[in-house]
Amino acid sequence: MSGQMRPACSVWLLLVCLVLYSRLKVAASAPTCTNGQAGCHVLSLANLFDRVIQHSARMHGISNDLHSEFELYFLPSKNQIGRVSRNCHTSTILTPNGKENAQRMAREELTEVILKLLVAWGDPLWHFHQSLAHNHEFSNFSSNKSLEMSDMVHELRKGVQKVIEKMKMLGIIGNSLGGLGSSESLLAPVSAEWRLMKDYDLLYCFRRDSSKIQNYLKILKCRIVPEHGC
Amino acid sequence: MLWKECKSCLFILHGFINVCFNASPPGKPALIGCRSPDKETFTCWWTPGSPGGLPTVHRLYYHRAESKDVRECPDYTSGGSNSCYFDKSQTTLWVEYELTVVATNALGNATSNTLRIDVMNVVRPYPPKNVVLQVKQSNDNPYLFIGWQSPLNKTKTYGWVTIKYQLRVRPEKSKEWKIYDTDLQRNFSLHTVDPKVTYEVEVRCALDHSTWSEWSTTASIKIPGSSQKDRLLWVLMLVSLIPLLTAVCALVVKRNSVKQCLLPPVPGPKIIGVDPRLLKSGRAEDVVSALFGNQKLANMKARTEETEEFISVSDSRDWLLPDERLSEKVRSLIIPNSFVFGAKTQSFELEKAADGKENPVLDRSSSRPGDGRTPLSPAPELQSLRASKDAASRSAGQCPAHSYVDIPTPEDCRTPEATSDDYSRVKGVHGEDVLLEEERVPPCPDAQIQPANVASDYSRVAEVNSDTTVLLQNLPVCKERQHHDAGWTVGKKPEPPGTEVSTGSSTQLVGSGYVDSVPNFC
Repeated sequence: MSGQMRPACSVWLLLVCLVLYSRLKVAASAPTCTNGQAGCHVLSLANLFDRVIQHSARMHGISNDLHSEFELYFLPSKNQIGRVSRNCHTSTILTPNGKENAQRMAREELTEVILKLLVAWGDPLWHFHQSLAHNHEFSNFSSNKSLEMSDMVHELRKGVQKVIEKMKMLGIIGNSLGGLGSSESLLAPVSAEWRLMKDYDLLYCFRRDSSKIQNYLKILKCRIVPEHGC
Repeated sequence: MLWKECKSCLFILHGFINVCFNASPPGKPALIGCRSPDKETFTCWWTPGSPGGLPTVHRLYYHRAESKDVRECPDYTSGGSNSCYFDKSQTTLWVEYELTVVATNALGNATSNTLRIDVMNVVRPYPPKNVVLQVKQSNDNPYLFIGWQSPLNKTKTYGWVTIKYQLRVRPEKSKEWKIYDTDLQRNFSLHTVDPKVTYEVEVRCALDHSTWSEWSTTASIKIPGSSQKDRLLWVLMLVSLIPLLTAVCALVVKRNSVKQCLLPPVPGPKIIGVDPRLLKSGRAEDVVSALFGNQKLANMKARTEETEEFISVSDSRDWLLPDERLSEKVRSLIIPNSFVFGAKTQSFELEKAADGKENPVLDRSSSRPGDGRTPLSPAPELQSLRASKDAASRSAGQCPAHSYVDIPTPEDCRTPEATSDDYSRVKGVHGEDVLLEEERVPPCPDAQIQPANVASDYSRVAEVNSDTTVLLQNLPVCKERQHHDAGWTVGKKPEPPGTEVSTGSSTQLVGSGYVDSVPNFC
């Protein structure tokens, strides 16, 4: 009788251990907060926002540097008359042009605008980097920056998508942004006009758009997760 | 009539001249630039051209890049003179503005250059306000606390504006600034400050990636010098000085005893049983008594006679003395054979004394506490005696310390002595009694100090009695310091000593009668 009991006991013990271990693992990996607990998730959403905002600030900084560098290279007159007004390929995207306009915009709309911009710049920046890398006129410094810029756009887009998911999960925004997951729906209105743009104009346009992205994200964050400093 | 016509003519001419020579169309104005301090409004400035003499009006026209709608500046006053202020409703970000200024006067107008700006590119805040400096203490170390205020009026911007700050610090005399970034904080604590140094601080700010503002007005502050540590140090130093001072005072007050402690008087050599003073006296009898001392007491002959004596001095060797006593005395002067000084001429005199007259000179010397009798004789015995006595005095060495025995000082010594005050002279020893002399010697005034050239080895001659006799004098003038004993006089019999030979004494007076406890070494 005791001989049978012993292996059975050990097997039982092993099972218990395994269950406990798996539980612990689950507990460590996922937060113990449930959907209903607002405090738990709001904190993480704020963190996400902070990271995303930091990222966008850095991206805008790099675009600023590159643009200044190109200005030195080409020395175009800043105030020249008669220059063809730049037509950025993202001009079709309606963006709020001021603080009030941005605040008046709905969260979903604002979020959508951010995402559209990010999606629109993915490809052009990649190609820009390629052209810089192959062109030996430009220094390695510029080439590295363009690559960094291109990567950042992609990273930022992913980050913003995560934020959207989080917000959807929290019920902050509705599910109207149904088609945001696929980038094709966003790219369609944006034509391939960017291929016609010169490098300098492209940089000028991107500098403007990265500034927009940074400001919109900050407005959005203060609206959704208000904290000290908003 | 003609006059009226002339008047109108002149009037027209005057107007024409005015117009032609003083007025002109306005000069071309120039747009300087624009600035947005808060990302919501912006202001543009221009400089007018030459005035042209007539009142000129400037107007700013603008249109946004994508539209052709030209508008005029909404506000010419809020930004100051020659400016145009765009408020929130007029400001559009991320859009290019094209601005132009037109100057107009009665004679014409002038258009400025066109300025293309994007408001986001001309964002530049004003410097921070109210920079405050405070010196605070942290664990007895001073540190500088710097505080300031945002240049923007509104504190809540809803995330639209993120302001970051930068400050720079330098000591007053240095030319190099040290820059610190404080990001969003509106205060800063600087711990690397030195006391007693004046520091200058300036702050500036920026909105996100905008251009930095100008540096604020310089604020300066002096870090106070003394800290608690310094004060404590001073207190400790003062406290530690007090015992030091008291010690020094005590030393000064008691310097004499300290001197005695540190430099104790060195005793002279002392042989037991030998009286060093007698050795020094130089007289034969003294020497003998010093060496043989008490052993020869039995042979002593008490001398009861007076201290008066005289010596007959003659050239020849075989002089005869009428007085038996005198010859005895003289003989007694002869040094006994056992006492050798090393003088050459002593040999024969020793022989002379060999017949048993071993009278020590102790009896003589005991009746006279002093000595200093100096023979004058050219006689060989006395010569030798003198020589030997001198030798004795020399060999005897230094003066004795006063602390041991009250012995009068020998001739060569100049030590002042108080013996004359403390002692009486022995007239003589009669059996077991010692007869003391009465004090007849008056105290010495200082005026009677003898000239130094009088040698101490000689006595003055009182008178010449005969061809063969010279009477010497050694009268005691006074009781003060005397190298020579005032006990015996030569020649004149009992007369008061001070009358005749007041100046004849060869005594030397030294000092004025006080005792110096420190021994003098001659």
